[in-house]
Amino acid sequence: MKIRNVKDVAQLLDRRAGSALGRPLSILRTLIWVVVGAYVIGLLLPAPKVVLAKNYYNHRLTHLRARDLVLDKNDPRGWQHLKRNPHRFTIAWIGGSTIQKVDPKHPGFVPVDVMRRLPHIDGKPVQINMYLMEASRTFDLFAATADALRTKPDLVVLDLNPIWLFNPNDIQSWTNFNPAAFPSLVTDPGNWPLLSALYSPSDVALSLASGHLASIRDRWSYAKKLREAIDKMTPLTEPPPPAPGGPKPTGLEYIATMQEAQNFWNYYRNLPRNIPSPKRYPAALMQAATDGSSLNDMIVSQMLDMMGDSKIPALAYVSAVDPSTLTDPAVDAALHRIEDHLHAIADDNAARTLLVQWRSGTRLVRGLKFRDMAHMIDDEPMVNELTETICSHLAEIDSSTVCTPKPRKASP
Amino acid sequence: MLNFDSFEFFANLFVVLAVLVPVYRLVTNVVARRILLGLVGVYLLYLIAPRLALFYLAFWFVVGLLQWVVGRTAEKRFGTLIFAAASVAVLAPMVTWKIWTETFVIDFNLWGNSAARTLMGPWGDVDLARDIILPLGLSFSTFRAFDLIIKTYLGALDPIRADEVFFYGFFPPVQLIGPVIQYTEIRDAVRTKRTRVTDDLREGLLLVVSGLFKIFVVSYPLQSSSDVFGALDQNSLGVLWLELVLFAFYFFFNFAGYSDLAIGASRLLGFDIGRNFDWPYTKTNPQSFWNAWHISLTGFFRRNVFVPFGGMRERSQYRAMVLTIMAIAMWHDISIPLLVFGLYHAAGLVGHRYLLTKRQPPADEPLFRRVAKAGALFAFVDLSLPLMVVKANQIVPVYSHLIGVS
Repeated sequence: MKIRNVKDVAQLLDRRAGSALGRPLSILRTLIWVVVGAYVIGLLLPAPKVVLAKNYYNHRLTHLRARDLVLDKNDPRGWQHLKRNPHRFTIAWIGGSTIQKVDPKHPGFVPVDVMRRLPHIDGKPVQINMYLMEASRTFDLFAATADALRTKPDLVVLDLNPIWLFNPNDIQSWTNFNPAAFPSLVTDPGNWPLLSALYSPSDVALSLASGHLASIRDRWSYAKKLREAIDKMTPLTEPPPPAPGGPKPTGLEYIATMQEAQNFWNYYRNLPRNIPSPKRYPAALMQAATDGSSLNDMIVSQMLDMMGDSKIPALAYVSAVDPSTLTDPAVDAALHRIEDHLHAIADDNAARTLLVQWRSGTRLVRGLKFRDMAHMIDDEPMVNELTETICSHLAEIDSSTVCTPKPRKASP
Repeated sequence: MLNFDSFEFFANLFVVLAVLVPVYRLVTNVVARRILLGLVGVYLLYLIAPRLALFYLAFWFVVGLLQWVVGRTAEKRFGTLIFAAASVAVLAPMVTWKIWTETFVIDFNLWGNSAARTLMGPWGDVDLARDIILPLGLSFSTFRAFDLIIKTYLGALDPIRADEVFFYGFFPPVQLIGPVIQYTEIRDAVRTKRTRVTDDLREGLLLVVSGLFKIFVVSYPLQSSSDVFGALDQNSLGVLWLELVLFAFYFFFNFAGYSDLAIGASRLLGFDIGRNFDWPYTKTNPQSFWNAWHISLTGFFRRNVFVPFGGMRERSQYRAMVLTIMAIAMWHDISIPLLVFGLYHAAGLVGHRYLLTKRQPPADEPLFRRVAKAGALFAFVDLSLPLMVVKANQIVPVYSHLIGVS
């Protein structure tokens, strides 16, 4: 019998395969077998384990009680959880590149430096679980915060970068978090409008399937392994990558090289090419929409509400910006606008366990040194401020908390 | 950026279908059915980027108006003029995109985003988080719209109502990569209550499985063959030819796989859409190859270029053939490589037709002869595929390398 089209295949199934898929029950049975098959594949062919220690930042955290939990930006598993140790005081610290210290000689992390000043809380060694997402935007922070709260840490600290907090031009960057964060976000009906806007049906389906089927959950690892195997099989020798300094692509080729949609909007509209590099962050900060016209308001409000509802001690603070940029009155006014707007949203979502430090770190401490508007070279003043804020907040929630920071370093 | 993963569209479509198929089957009101399917189409475009959904809403609104005006004026003295103006209006976005690609893509995204943010308020912020996109599906929408305008003008179809335009314009499975359906292909199925639901589900699922197999099992491992055109200096002649052959299979199975997904999804909803590929690499002459390759598109050009230009008449058949294949080539891209591609295949088609007039092949050819002919035709087609990928200044280097002169 010649197989020319799908009807021929159907006839073949009728004759040779007991009319498979020919009746509703048969279709259902087949679908069940597909699910069982996916389950068995997950058992028989486990995906290669993600080694957190190989993560870019974790190289710098060896021998410390701190780990960056965030996986590759394309990995739909989002992050990897560590087994909770009840003998440690776990702090989940969420933020973007602003929680780094970018001193070229001594790079570091704000949370780790806080841990150094505050090695024990309530007699337990402090453990830092970092959710460090480069170029994270407000919805990314929301997704990571939801996950962090789900792991029931002892304290959640959230770094809010004022440059992007209310910037309507970029509300989400780490879309791979969608499936991973879904179980944490869907339980609150207040989040549903946001989920309907930013999630796709496949995000939801894959998230649900990932909860039960390892072969679906670990698809990124399988795909990576498969790609590597296929690449080994091809006889084609790839050309060497273009030498740096070669002709810069233009037009569509240039757009094709852009990593983020934001690059396009900035290049062609929001921060046009003629804005010099040092002015780009201040220009982005000034784009903040604080009149209620941005979706960020809803995201921030839901995020603070979720933190308060969790009853887990939580601190949200606005990261510091380079004080020298505030000499421009327009930039200073924009930062005030952002702070006041956050203050109003925080007041609407006030909770006993939640402290929102709505003033930027720049307003609270002196002596900060920056590489650019957002990234600190020396984080010590900010670390001191945060350490003391954490202790006072924990003591306010529970006066029996033992939180004694190590003494500050003596000023030179 | 600018590389949208078509599978993402289908992944969303199939998840939606899990809910849509039973709901659609339960709804008996025809208008409600049309609106339901149209809304799903809009939603799927919104998921790619809200600006894309808005663009197509505007596009099909204009098409709906134009087909109504064309239908009403077809018999009038100035009817032809109106038809011509409507045709220009419908083709304009696609032609602009093909000629001024860079400007069109940039402005399409910038203007579309501004419109999304103006119309959607805070929710317009979502558009900025979506990737920068080419006007995905514009060719297929243009062909569907143009087909509707022509049929209305010729009186083959009465002007259709707004809900019908919405349904036809946003019929979910064909939004992104075709096939180029005609309104008559889906018109009746939405009206009738299907009695053989299980057959629809069975055939739809089989087509979906076939599509997934073609995409992931056959085509995905061959994907790296498309890098061959950028790696000419690094590879031997044998490897270049091997990769060119593999590229031909990658190209076919990838496209045919996605067509199967679209046709299978339509079938799950109870719509019978014709196949888009009929094993073209097994054909033995250029004419049957083009009758088996991207059938819905060649059908569109046959109806709207080949026949009107006298393809069915002996005297003008060669001219019609050349014009048709050139139109197909230029649709891919208005560029020198595609011009060469068109001329190359036009030569094949004209040569084949000319030989047919001289000597008809025997009705029952032996197998080895058919295999030899299919092999020769595959080589003929495969040799033209680089022209679909390379730029004008790469034509000579690519073909020089393929013949070992570099």
